[in-house]
Amino acid sequence: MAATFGLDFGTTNSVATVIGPDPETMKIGPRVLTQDGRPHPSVVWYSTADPVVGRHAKDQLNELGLGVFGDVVRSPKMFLGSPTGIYVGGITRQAVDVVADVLRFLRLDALGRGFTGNSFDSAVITIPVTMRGPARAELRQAAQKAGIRIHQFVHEPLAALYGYLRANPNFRQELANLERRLVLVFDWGGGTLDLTLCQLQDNVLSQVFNAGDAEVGGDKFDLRLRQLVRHKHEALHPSADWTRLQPSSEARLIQACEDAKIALSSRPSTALYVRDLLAVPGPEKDLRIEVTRPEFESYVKDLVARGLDRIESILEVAGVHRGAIEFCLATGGMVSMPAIQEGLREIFGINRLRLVPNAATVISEGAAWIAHDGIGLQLAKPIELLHADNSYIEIIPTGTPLPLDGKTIGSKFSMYCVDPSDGFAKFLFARPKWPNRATLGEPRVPYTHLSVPVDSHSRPLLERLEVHVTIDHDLIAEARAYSTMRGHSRQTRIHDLEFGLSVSTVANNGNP
Amino acid sequence: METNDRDATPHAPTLGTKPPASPTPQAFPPSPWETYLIGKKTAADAFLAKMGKGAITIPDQQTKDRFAEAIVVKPARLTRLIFLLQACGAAVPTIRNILADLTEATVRRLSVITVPVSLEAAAYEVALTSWLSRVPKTPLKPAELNILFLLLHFGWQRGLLDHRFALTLLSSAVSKPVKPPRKSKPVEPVVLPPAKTPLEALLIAPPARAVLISLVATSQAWSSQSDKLSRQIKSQTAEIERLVAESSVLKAAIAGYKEEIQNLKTQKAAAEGRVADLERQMVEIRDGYQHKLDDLRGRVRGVLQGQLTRWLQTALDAARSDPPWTKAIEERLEDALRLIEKELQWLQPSA
Repeated sequence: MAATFGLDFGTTNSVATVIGPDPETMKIGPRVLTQDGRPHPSVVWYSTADPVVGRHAKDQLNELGLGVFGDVVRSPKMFLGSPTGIYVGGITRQAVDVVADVLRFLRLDALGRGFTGNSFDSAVITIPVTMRGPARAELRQAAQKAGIRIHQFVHEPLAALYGYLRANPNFRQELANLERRLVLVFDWGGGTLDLTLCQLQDNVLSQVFNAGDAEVGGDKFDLRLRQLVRHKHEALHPSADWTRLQPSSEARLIQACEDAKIALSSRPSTALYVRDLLAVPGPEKDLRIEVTRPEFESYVKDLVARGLDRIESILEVAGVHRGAIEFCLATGGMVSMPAIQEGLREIFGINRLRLVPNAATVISEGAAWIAHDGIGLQLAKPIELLHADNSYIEIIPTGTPLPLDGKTIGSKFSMYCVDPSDGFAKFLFARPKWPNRATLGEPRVPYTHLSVPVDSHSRPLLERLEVHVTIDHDLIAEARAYSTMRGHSRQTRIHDLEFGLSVSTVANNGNP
Repeated sequence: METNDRDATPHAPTLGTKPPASPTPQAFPPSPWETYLIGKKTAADAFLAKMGKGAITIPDQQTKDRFAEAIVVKPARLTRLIFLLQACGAAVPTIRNILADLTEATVRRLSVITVPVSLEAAAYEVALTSWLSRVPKTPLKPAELNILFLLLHFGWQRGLLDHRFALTLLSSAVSKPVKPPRKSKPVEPVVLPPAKTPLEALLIAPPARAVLISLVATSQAWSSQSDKLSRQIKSQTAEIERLVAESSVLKAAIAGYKEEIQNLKTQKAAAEGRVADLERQMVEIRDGYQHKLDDLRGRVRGVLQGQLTRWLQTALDAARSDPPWTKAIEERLEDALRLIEKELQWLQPSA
C-alpha cells in the first residue's frame, strides 16, 4: 500500500484518496474515501468539547455562504494566513487549529477504513493556485498538528489534470497526443474558480499560467438562489415576514435550495416546498414556489459571465487564441450547471470540452496518483534576474526538482553594481512567459522587484552584490540581495511559481 | 658465566693446568674402563664388544671419577676415550650410555669449559665458542683437537649440537685465521676452498688414509641422510600432490555446493518475494473489498438518509398541505424513482 495518500482540502468539501488495486481486476485505481458517497463538507461545529466535522457539522448550518456562523465554521481554509483568529462559539480560535480539526477528522476517517499498513501520516495535499505563502505554511502546520506530514503541495488544477489523464487506460498514448499542446483546466468549485493553462512538453506537464477568482464560488450561487426563492415567495405573499423564520427552517431551506440547484441542472423548472417556513398563520407560512432555470440563470448571469470571462483573460495574458487549446477540462461542482456548460461549449465547442463524471473527487484522485507514482514537482519556468545589459540571468533553472517536506533548495549569484549613483541596486526577478522559451527575445513576466542600498559614492562596477534565491517546501521562493560595501540586505518572496510534473517514468494503468 | 670464566682464566686452558682437587686414591682394583685407558693398548671396537657381552655393570660415581682422573693425570689418554667414542656407534645402547656418562664425567673433571647445569644447546654452544676463542692459535694443536673432539662427542651424545655448528667449529679449529683474532671477539670461521660436489671436497683433502676414510664416511653419511631426505621429500611431494588433487576435488565439490546454495538462496528469495507479493495482494484484495463494501454501505446510507428520505418527506409534506401541491409531489417522487433507478444500475455487478 502506498504510504502517501492524496488529499483535496477544499474550500467547501474535502476528500482523501489512496491508490490500490481493484479486488476483481487487480488493476490499480483510486479509492476515494467519501462519506456516504459524497466528499466530506469542510465544516467544523464547536458545540461540545470535541469538535464535530463533516456532514453532521454541515447539518447545523442555518445560513448560506462561507465563514463563521455561530459555533460553526464553514471553509476554514479561507482563514489560513490571516493574522486574526476565528471567533467561533464565543472563543477565538487560531485558523491553524480549526483546519487541524478538519484534517484530523479526515485522517481518522481514513484510518477507520482499515487499510492495512497505511498510517495516513503522509499526504500530497492540493492547494488553490491563489493560495499565498503564509497560508501554505499554516496549512503545513495544521497538517502536522493533525498527524499528517505534507509530502508535497500540488496546485488543484494540475492535480485535476493529472488525475483525469492518469485514469485513462491509454495514459501514455494520451500523453503522446498532447505533446506540445495546451490544456486549460477550469475548476469551478464551491469556494473558488481556478484556471490553469498547462502544456505538455518532453514528458513534463507544466503550468503555463494560473488565474483564480474567489468571488464567484458556488456559495455565491446558493446565496443568489435563496434570494430568488425569497423574492418569489414575497411576490406571492407580499405580507410574508421573513424575519419570522421558524428555528429549524433555515437549514431546511438551505437544503431545499441545494436540491433545487441540482434539479435545475437536469430540469427546466423545479418545485420548492418547505413546510412551516415562517412562524406566521396563513398560506405564506409554507414555501411553495416554482423556480425555472431561466429565472435562476438570470439571477446568476453576472457570476457565470465573470467566471467565463476568466477564460478569455487567461488566454489573453498567455497570448493564445482559444483555438489553440487542445481541450478544456472542466471540474468542480459548478460545471454541472447548464449555463456554465453552455458557455464553455460556446468557447471550446462540444469536442474540446471534457466534463468528468468524478468532478467532485478528481483533484483528490490526481493527488493520490501523484503520490502513488512518486513524481515530484519541478520548476516549470526558470527564476531569472534582469541584468544591466537587458539580458536575463538564470538563477534557478527550469526543471529544477522542488523540495519535499523539510527540504530547501537554493542558488547564489554575484554581480557588480553598474549604476550606484542613486544609492540603490535594483533587481528584477522574472520568468519567461512560456516554459522552455528562455532566449533573449522571448517575453518575460515579472515575479518581483527588490532594491538594496549601495554606496552611492563608489564608482560603477566596484560594489559587489550577492543574490541568494531559495525555494522552501511550501514552494515559496525567497530572493535575498546583499550589498557588500554598504552592508545592507533586503529580501522578498515569490508565491506564484509555476510547476511541472515529470511523467516520463509513469506507465499505463495496471502496469505500474 | 662465560665472562666470569674468561676473567678468571685469561689464557686458553690447557691440560695440566691446575686441576680441581682430585679425589683421594683408594686401594681397589681399577674398572675395565679405567684399565682400557691406562693399560695395554686395545682396539676400541673390540673392547666395546667385549664390554657389551654378558652382564653389563653400570659404573658408579667413583668409577666415573677415577676414569676421568686417569685422563686428567695423563691427557694423552684422551685419545683412547675418543677412539671409544668413535667406535661406540656399533655398541649396544647400555654401553653407549655408560660411555656418555664417562665422557660427561671427564668433561666436567677437565673443566676446560663450564658445563651448563641444565645442559641446554644454546648455552653449550656458547661455552664451546668461548673455549675456542680462548685458544691462542689456530689450527689447534693435536691435544686441543682432542679436547674439541671430546666436547663435540659429548655434545652430540647429549643432543646439544647440530652438525652445522659442529662443522663451523671444526672449520674454525683447523683453519688459519685471515686476521689475528682479537681477544674479545670469537674466532671467525675461515672459508674453506669452495667445493661444489662431494667428490671435489674429497679431492681437495690431504691424501692421507685416515682423512680419506673419514671423508668417505662423512660423504656416505651425508649421502645416506640426503637419500633419506630425498625419499621423504618424494614421499611428501606425492602426498602433497595427492592432497592437492583431493583438495581440487573437494574444492570443486564445494564450488558445486556453493552454487547449489546460491541457487537455493535465489529460489528462496524468489519464493519469499512471491509469498510477500501474494500476501500483499491478499491484503490489497481484502482492503479493496472492504473499501468497496464501505463505499457501497456509505452510498446506500447516503441515498436513503439523504436525498431519498428528504424527497419523500417533501412529497409527503406537499401531499398534506392544503391544498396538496401535486407538482412538488410528482417532482420529488420522480426524483426519488430516478435516484433509485440510478443506484440500482450502480449496484449491478457489471457496473
